Amino acid sequence: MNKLKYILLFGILLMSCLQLFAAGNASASSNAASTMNPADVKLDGVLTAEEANALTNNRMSYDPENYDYTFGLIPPRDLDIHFTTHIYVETAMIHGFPALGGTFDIGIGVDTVTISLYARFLHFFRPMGSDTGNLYVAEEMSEVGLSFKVRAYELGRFNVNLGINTGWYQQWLMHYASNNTYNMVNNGVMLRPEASIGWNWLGRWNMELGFFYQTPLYPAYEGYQAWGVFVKIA
Amino acid sequence: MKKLAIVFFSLLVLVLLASCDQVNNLVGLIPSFEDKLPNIFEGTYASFESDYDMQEGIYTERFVFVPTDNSVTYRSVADGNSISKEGKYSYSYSSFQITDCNGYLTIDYGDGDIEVFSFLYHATALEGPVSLTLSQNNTSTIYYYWD
Repeated sequence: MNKLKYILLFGILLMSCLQLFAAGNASASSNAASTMNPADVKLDGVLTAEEANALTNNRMSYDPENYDYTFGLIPPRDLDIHFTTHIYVETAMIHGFPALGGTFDIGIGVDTVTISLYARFLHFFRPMGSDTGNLYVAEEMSEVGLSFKVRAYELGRFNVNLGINTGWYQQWLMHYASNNTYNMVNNGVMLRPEASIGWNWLGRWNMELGFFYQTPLYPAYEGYQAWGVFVKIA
Repeated sequence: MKKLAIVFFSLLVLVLLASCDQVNNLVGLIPSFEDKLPNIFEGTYASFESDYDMQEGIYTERFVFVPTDNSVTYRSVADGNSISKEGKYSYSYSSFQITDCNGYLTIDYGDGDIEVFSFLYHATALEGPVSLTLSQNNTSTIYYYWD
């Protein structure tokens, strides 16, 4: 029991260090960004870096010893780098019947872009489109991969998001004579573009409703080309 | 509060102990995952001389495959004489399209009696296995799945 507590504490410590490291990196590059009022700057021939930034809206880097003025090196504000985790519930029409599943992803968000690793699972209510159980009694699909999402449009709490997921999918089929064993039949690279509309409830909690199109690219398997709908819960 | 905890934990332990003999039933429900393709050779496949014979169940040759130990029983009936053999089979797939597949089937009846066929398997997701066509020396015979 004690060991578990330590492992949990270490995990939390590691995660917070990672976040601090990311945040620290972002602010270190700001080069004395100024919060001064530009009207307070006295033009007496000697400008400090802070005053120069105040006059140029934090877009100037100033080296007084070398009289070096460089515009645009300083980003106007700190980059918003944060750690993200999301949970989705989704359904897709495969073999002519619905399949239900979910996705969990974990990654890093930089401003409006999120790059994450995801794991996905889909359960088929009609394996290969049939519930007679005469050939296959069960079918599942699992997938792991990389996800790229961008918040393309934002107006208040409403946002529109676009994304592309690529991963390795596996089709698991249980033959009627297989004695409770799933066999992996088709597997390969899956491409899944998606689009969604979202509502930002509180802080980073953004609930989304979207649709996707999945297609196995290589080796091509037509059976798993499908449209689907997903809801991002958290 | 302490009494409640004692009662609760003792009940929990007793229930867990009482369910020990049911655990085996539950463990059987957990499926296992395998990397290789499924073994589709299961059941009875028989060849018939005519549709009438098929309806009556009068076969000329019959294979019964058992996938648990890869054993096969062969029986052929011709002119009133019947031959019955038992052996072990092994297979390899050339292509596997879930409902249709083909490859090579090797049956070893023992004592050096080994037969190699190339097979063509056809099934539908709704009905299950339909037929198994075995070819050898440029002759092929269709065996139908027979319940």
